[in-house]
Amino acid sequence: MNCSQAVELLSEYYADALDENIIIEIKTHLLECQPCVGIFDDVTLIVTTARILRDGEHIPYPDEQVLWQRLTVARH
Amino acid sequence: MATVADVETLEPAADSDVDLARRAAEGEDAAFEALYHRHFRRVYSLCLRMLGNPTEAEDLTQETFANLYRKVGSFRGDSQFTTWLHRMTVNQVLMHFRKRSVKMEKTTFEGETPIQIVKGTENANRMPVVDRIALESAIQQLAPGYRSVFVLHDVEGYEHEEIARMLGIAEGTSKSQLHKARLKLRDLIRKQAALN
Ligand SMILES: [Zn+2]
Repeated sequence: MNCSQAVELLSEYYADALDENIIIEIKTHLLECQPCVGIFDDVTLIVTTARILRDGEHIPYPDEQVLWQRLTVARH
Repeated sequence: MATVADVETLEPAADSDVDLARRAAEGEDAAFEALYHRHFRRVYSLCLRMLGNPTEAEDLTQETFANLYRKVGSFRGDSQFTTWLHRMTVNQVLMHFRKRSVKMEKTTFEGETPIQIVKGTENANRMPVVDRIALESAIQQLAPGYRSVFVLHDVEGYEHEEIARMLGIAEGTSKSQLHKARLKLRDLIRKQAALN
């Protein structure tokens, strides 16, 4: 397995959607390829961070009350 | 088999979403207002992430709640209210994309530079720490098709099957767009970090 094949399968690897022998090929490739390990780690980090975004805490929210007024006007 | 006592215990708690939705459907404005305040942030954040633009997100949040006002009576209580409202929000955004003629599949592949897997030999080329802000801003730079799939799957936790149904694309397309979106995000975050 070469680098582009390994990277192509990255998401399916994480989704646990691959056959056992393909998983072994990927793991073998990762053992000997530091750059690919880097890509796999980066994507893991992106996916983990994305999950944290769900709480929406750090978003700059517009004024809820102003939008409520607009909505009230629009409804009538 | 359900007995009368069981049915009574299944009565929604006062001020639960189900209770508020029922009262809103009966025309109680205060109940609708309570639902609005309870769900405003989730609806807005979903709109913002899918649209990538605060002004449009405000408009779509407004449209979603206006739509909720009209349709709250059709909420049956067999799914969670939040799930139901999120679907309504996603549909509202998708309708907006359609009006703007954003094609879920095409825009992602046309007019975009192909993703390049930039590899380094050492850690110097590794992506810097991904904080929420860096990721949030990278998400906003994605093409709408990529962005929708990434937000729905990796942020909101939807399955590919449901995403495919909502976006009107094949499940395989949803999977491959998610994969490309993740690599594109990595690329964007690294580029941004290189500028700083
Ligand atoms: Zn490799």
